[in-house]
Amino acid sequence: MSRSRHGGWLADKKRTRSSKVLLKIFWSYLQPYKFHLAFVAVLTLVYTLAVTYQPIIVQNAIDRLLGGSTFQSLLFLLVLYMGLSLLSWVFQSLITWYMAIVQNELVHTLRIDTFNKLVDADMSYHGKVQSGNVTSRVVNDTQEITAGLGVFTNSLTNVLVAFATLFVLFDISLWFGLVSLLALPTSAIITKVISGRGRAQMLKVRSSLGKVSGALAENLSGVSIAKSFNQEERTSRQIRKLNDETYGYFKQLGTLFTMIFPSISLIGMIMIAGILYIGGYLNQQGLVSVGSIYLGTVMVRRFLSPIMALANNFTNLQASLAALDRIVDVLHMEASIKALQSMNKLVLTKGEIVFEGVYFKYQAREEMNVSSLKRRPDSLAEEERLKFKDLRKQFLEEKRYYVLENVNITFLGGKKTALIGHTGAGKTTITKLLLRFYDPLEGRILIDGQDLKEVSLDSLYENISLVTQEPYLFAGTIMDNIKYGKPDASDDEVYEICRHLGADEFIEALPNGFQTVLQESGKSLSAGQRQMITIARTMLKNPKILVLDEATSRLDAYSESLVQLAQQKLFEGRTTIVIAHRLSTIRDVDQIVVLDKGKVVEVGDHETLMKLKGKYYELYNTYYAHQGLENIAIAS
Amino acid sequence: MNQATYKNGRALFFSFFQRDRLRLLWSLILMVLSSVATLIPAVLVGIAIDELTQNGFSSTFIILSTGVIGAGIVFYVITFLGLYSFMTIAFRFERDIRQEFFDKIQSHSLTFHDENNSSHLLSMGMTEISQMRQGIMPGLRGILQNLFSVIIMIITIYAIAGREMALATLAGFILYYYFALYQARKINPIRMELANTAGEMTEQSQEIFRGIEVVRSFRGELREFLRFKTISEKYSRLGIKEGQIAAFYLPDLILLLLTAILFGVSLFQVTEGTMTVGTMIQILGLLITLQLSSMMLPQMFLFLNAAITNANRLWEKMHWQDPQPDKEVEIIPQINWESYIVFENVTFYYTGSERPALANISLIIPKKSKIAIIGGPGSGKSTFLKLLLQLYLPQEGRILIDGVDYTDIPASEVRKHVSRVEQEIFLFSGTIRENISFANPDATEEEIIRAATAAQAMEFIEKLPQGLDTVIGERGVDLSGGQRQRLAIARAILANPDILLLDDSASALDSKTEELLRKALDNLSADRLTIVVTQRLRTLLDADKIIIFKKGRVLDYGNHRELIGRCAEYQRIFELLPETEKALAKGGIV
Repeated sequence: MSRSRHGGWLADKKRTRSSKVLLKIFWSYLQPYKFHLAFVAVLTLVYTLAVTYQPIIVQNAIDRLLGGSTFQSLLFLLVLYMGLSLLSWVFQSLITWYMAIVQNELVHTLRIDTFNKLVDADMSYHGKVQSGNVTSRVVNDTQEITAGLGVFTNSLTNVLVAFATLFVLFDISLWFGLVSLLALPTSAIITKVISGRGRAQMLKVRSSLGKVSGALAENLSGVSIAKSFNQEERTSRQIRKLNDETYGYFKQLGTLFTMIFPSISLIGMIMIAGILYIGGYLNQQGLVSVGSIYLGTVMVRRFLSPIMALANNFTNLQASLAALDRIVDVLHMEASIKALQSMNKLVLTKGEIVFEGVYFKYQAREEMNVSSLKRRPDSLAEEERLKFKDLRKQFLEEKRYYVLENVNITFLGGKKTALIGHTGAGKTTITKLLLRFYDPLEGRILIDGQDLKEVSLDSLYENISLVTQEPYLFAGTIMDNIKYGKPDASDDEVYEICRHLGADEFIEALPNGFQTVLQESGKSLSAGQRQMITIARTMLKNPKILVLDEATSRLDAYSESLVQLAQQKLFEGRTTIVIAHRLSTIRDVDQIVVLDKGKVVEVGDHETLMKLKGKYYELYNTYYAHQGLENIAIAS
Repeated sequence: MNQATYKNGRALFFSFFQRDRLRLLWSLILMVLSSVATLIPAVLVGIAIDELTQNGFSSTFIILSTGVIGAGIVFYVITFLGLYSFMTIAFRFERDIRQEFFDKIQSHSLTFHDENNSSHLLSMGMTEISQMRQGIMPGLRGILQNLFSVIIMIITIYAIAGREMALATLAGFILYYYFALYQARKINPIRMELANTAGEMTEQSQEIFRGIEVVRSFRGELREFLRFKTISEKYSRLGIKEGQIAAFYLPDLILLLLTAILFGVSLFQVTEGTMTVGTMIQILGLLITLQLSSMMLPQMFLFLNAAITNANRLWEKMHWQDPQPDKEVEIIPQINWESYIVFENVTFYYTGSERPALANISLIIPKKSKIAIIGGPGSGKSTFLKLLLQLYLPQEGRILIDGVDYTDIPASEVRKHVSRVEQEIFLFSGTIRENISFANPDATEEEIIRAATAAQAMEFIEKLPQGLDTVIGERGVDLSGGQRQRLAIARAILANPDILLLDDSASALDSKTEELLRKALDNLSADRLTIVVTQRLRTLLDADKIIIFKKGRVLDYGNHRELIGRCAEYQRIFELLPETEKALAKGGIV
């Protein structure tokens, strides 16, 4: 319980489900630990009784002493006291022991379930949610939930102790009980101050620290710039300024807490004095014994701390429930791209790909919310269901929002097709549909006559590979990265591929060659080098259909030509789809498809399309022709 | 810049005590007084009860009871003051260490930054330094306060109950501290491992989800799942282990037993008549007060331990030994930076690499010339530029400018005269103005506009809503690659270097942008030495000299006409340049 990772009263407490619904879901996760938890509950109960009873023994002893008892007659009290000390220690330890098991196993289960759901989630989800937030679901929220379990058992102990203590106090005297109730408004006021001003100041500290962190991050990654321009003093000053600001906020917050913390003790003292006054007076009346006064002073202090803790526990529990709510969102997510292992295997013959009347649109935020409602029919009122239907209809009518609109393309089997168009024309979207990261809203995509939706993803990815503009590498060695799609490949195969690509040169120049461990997604490599590795990775996997989305955009001309040669050699006679910016790439292809605003506008080879003097001709002149070269030609 | 040095991590951590001694002394005195004030009520309650048993509900009893409130108020004031001044020192410590850390790390050469993951450095600078402060407050503070309370309590017991009881308490607390420290030592490595595992787990998850497209299309799901499961399981196992070690916390038992024993002895002495009931209540009250204040002690020990471990890690980074430290230069030599540059058998290895990134480079770069560099990835192009900027020093050979060895010139001096526009443009988040004037924050509006205009950047800056004051970066406007490049050029122009290095090796730009860039470059290269890594035909043709790099060596060095005539590699590259075919189609170049 000591290791709670709570955001406490700062944490996000927004949620969409009722506590009842959430606790019910949580309970299902607790099933395997029913007996552990029952045992912990029993231990807690006994523990509470033991620690409450101890001061009563002392009270008893005091009264007997004042009555003139002998040591021998008090011996059993002493033994009982010792026994209870031992018992409370053992029980407390057992509670910690069992809770450690339950909490840690539970968080593991939750983490794995959440992880799996997220790995299988639709790409539209990943397109919408940043990887940092996805990770936060997997790592932080699950931890927060289990911390909540700890807080819950802790609260249970606190409630029991508070009640037992209060009972003892009222049992001695009504007045003792009333004095101890002073703890309630005190705790209310303190909680209010903390969650009001404390929270506001903590937020300031947080945002200020955030600025320091941002500046630090930026200046660490841009360190070579600061050095190059001799501006180290300046960045240092920048950090100093932010650092000073943060210190100021920290001091304000600290002052507040420094004022609050000792005030709890002060209230305790006032309550003890109250017990003494009343106890002394009542003792004179013969209503309470001296032992009971002592007991009152002990109990009244003991009442204060669980009450203070409970207020804090409550906010923590709210935070846990909010985390649980977010996790349930994930766990109840139903992937819309269903790809069962039992589906037919994709069988390639010619490798011909056909887009048949394909419409597609990325889901915007609002629509995501509607469709996430759709995923939870239990919580969806009929009214909302209708609203969703309306929305869908409306959105199908608004065809101008389509990223792809009635796209019909035949990518010839074994041939090379280039996709051409301005940014936003839909080129990349076509590649994503082909890899089934998304499904078309309407229309079909067929590979050798088989609908993409009817074949298993495994068999699809076995046959098709995509190399994108953004080279993504994993932490690990270069060798591991290249073998990512074919883990059982031999090192020699990797060397062979890299030799073909001309990538061996720079890889071997690295400190540990192919065994160099890449850090931060390969920050030490240039973009071109990273791209080379991703190309090698795909070539090693040796797919039957190759999709290249600006795959060589970051290479210099020379390397690019090597890649092209390797590609021609290794991928001769395979269906290839390229999106490229270099003329040399496009001129070689068998077919060019020109896209404009999501529609196919022209299809044909270079010569034919140039003659048309249409969109292709225009694009060619913007992107591929180079003004001013005429002058050079003449001048030289 | 504060460049304090420390003997080791511990010294770094305990430098806390040397930072603001007067204030610290003051807060320590207040802590002792606060410990006294904490224990007074327990004593007063005991005396009051004795008074009650002897004289009944007397005025003395009422005064004693009121004394408890008085003690409470005194406690409040003293504790507030003590905590406040201690807190101030602790937060200052955090602030200052953070600054020292950054300054030190920034001053390290690029070799250090190549070796170190910047996100790790960031988390050291933020989280680990915050944890160091936690080691001071609440950690060290809690431990010190507890120690003071224990000592004062033992003295009090000695005063009210005699030597035997005091010695028993002392023995109890020695055991208490012994086991508390033992426990902390046992649990600390597990804690550290937990923290590391948590970090790894986060990193792994982040990586998987950032690369989810790759994971999916290469069918890496199962592998990633198993990898994640392993680490999640490890984390869970460690968590259980930690919980179980923390469970049977011996110091707690010792404290409970000590209370029970003192209770027993008191009982005996009261029945013997050598002690009053009030004294017994005092003793029990003191022990209970101490139990409460010791409750957080294990946590405090962990804070302290973590802080020292972090301090050691921080210290290692701060005191990194540069394999090629800057020479201490007393007199900055007089150099004509417009002079020619000579490379004399220059060989350079990156740390840990067995193959030189540059091998045996010898060439002369004429003054105020235009040099173009061409070569494949890893051929040494970028390294060549980095050496010229003295971001690294060669292990063998010499670089001479105006006849002066580079190693005799301080890096800051080199960078006053040499500027680089790097391949992957790094812009700071902030306004465009701030970015352009980075090298010279005092630049006037006119100078900034002139630089931006020369870099052909004014054209797009003017179209932005706030012009030069438009915020760019994460929270600002997104710029295209060409725009970023032109801003970087403007930044370099404003620095007005004698030697300009430009890495322009990978760029797919439309022809209009390229035209603009070329104009910017022409402006830039007028009247200074420019060295450009390029693959643009025009730049090659315009260059006075072209260096062809291959595998860290200079394959050939000459102008376009010479190279096209004699160098097969150059002919090959030239043919492959995207513009060549077009230009050839228009009537040939050669």
